[in-house]
Amino acid sequence: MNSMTSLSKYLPYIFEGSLWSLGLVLGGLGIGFMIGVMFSLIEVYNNSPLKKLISLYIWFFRGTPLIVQLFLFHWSIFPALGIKSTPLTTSITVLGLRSGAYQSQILRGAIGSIEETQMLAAKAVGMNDWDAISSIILPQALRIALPQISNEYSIILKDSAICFILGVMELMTRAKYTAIATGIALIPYLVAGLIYMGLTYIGTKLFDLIYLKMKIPGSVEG
Amino acid sequence: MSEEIVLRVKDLYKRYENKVVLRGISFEVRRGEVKVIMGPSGTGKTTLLKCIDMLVKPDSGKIWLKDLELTDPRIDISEARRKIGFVFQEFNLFHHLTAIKNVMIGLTKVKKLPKHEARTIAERSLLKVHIGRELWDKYPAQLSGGQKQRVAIARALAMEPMIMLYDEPTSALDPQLTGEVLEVIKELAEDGMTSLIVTHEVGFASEIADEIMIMMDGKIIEKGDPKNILYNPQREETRRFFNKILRIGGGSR
Amino acid sequence: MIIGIVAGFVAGWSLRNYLGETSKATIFRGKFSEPPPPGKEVVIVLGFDASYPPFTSINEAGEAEGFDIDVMKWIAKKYGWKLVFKPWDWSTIVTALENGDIDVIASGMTITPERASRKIWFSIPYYSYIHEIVVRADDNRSLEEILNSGQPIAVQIGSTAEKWADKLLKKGYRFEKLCLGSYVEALEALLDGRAVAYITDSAFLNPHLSKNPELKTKIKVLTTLGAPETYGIATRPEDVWLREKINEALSELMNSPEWNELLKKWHLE
Repeated sequence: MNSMTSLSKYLPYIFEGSLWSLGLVLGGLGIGFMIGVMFSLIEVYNNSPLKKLISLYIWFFRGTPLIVQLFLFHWSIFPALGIKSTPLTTSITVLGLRSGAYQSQILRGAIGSIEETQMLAAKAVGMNDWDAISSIILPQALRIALPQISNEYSIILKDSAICFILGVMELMTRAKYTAIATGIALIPYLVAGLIYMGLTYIGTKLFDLIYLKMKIPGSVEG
Repeated sequence: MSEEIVLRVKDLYKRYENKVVLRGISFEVRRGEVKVIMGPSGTGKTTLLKCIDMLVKPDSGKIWLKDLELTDPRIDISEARRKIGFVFQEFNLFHHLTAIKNVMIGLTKVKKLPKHEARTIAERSLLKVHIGRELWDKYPAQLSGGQKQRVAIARALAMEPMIMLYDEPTSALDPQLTGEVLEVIKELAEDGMTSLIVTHEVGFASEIADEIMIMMDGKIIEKGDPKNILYNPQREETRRFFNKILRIGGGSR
Repeated sequence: MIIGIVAGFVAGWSLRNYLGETSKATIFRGKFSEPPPPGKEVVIVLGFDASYPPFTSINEAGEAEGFDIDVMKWIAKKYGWKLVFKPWDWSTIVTALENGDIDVIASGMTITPERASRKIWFSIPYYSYIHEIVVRADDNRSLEEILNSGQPIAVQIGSTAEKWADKLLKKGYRFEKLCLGSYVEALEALLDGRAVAYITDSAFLNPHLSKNPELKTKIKVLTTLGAPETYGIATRPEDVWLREKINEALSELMNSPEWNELLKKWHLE
């Protein structure tokens, strides 16, 4: 049928969407990681009222749906702060803030699983808190947290589709428009689905590689 | 052994929750001296060592490392800890670093030495504890207990401390591995390293100690020359303590 | 207590934003309230939901195309404006207009008093159509039977067709409202049996049947619903100048022969 040939012509358009989706995911993951490290360190090592604020932050970002957060930030919070943001920027920001909430918990758990004696030994050698955390605790914690962060990657990848409500032309939206333009409902979505699977697979494989490279020989996970 | 006092502890008190662990401990360690602390488990010997290194804060009392008062809240305690070498019962090597990196990290991070210089010192340190080149790039998980503990000693040694604190260095080791570690500690002591050792190894203690202190219930109940303490203890408790551990077979020749 | 303060702060800020909004209803200086200074390039961001062919859709090159798109292109060409095309999801497209992410909505948007009383004002109508209830060709039930069958009737979510479904439900008819993402999906639902009927409008259906004549034998229009409706181009209330210009251009276009050509091109005559 004529539509099928026209559908194949739409493929580049659909594929381009995956670049946007990737951009959203990588941006979100990166921001989330930075926030995650900061917050987890505060939660474990600090005792200031900051901890209360962080709890509030986590409660908000884990407790409300992504759609609500996107809406809130793009059309309430940013305008109230006088910031003019593009849909893409808002999306990456919100995905990042949200991921930060989750990653802080992941890292917090990872840091907590490291025996206190590692810290003690670092101090005994004469290291101050900051050196001990950065060269002894964090390197070990990151290795422990890696599988969960890899998981977070695939979660954000799926969440990225929701950014359509801000007009970001990512993969899912493009599949939808193609379906409507060609009148073929199923196949564009299938293609998009396959691309998501591919991106997930490549991403997690990459994480696996990194994990292998960073593994401590002879350790339990070996 | 010179007259110079390296470590001075005065009236150290420490309580955990409702248990008093240190009840006014006082003593001195001179340069080059090898002092051994013995006593029943749970009497606060580990706590004592940790307090000296300020890894645990004493409730009251004072500690001096030469002229520096460690218990003074105004001092930079990380700096001070450089000068004290601490060897843990559980080795506590850094899991994610190779043996040589374990030894180097104090030098690069704390003493801020350049990498090649740190490496030279680390290599020397490792050779001193008889850890050969072939083990330097191994990770702790790949080493035996005895090797791990010797690397830990090398790690502390590399910082060129004024005094070495050993917290039951062989208690976590299989019997056949304790020998190599005790040998190293002995060599270092004979070389003049001021050492404060907590141990159960009676034979070892009698060999190298200049003085043995018996700690019980948070107090030093007796101290003196090894021969006197072992064969002619003043206190009934001391006698009973040695009877008990000697019967279990505590490392006599 | 800290939680309370922070929450109050956030609520206050958001509220402030909305309060500011309502005061905008009285005409003030908006982006396009007045003619721009001479020599300045006018950039109009056109928001559209690309799920509504033949009025709006996306072609293989990823570009906007459709009747509404061509109309806006014509208007922009007349004035030398630069048009930026921004596809936007229907559910938030009005919010996007209100908040300045887009300047104009030309996307098969029906002029309703309810919409016009909110934060969007429409141009003069440029197309008219009527709502229809469509069933499968072999379904011989009457309108009453279908509306009371208790079975699903498909509509596009957020569209005027959905409003009709709600109206009918309120009147007491018993059927299940099945909301789907687009007119095409709703039609599919009718064709594959997930729905027994489908509410749409002639604006969508006629060109669709034109392009897919084989469907003419599969479905039939059971009845029309209500009075004819019209499409308009939406703008913010304060953009007085923009709206005037659009209306001028629309009138000119609709009275020219190019209008019929456009209608023909998109099977809308």
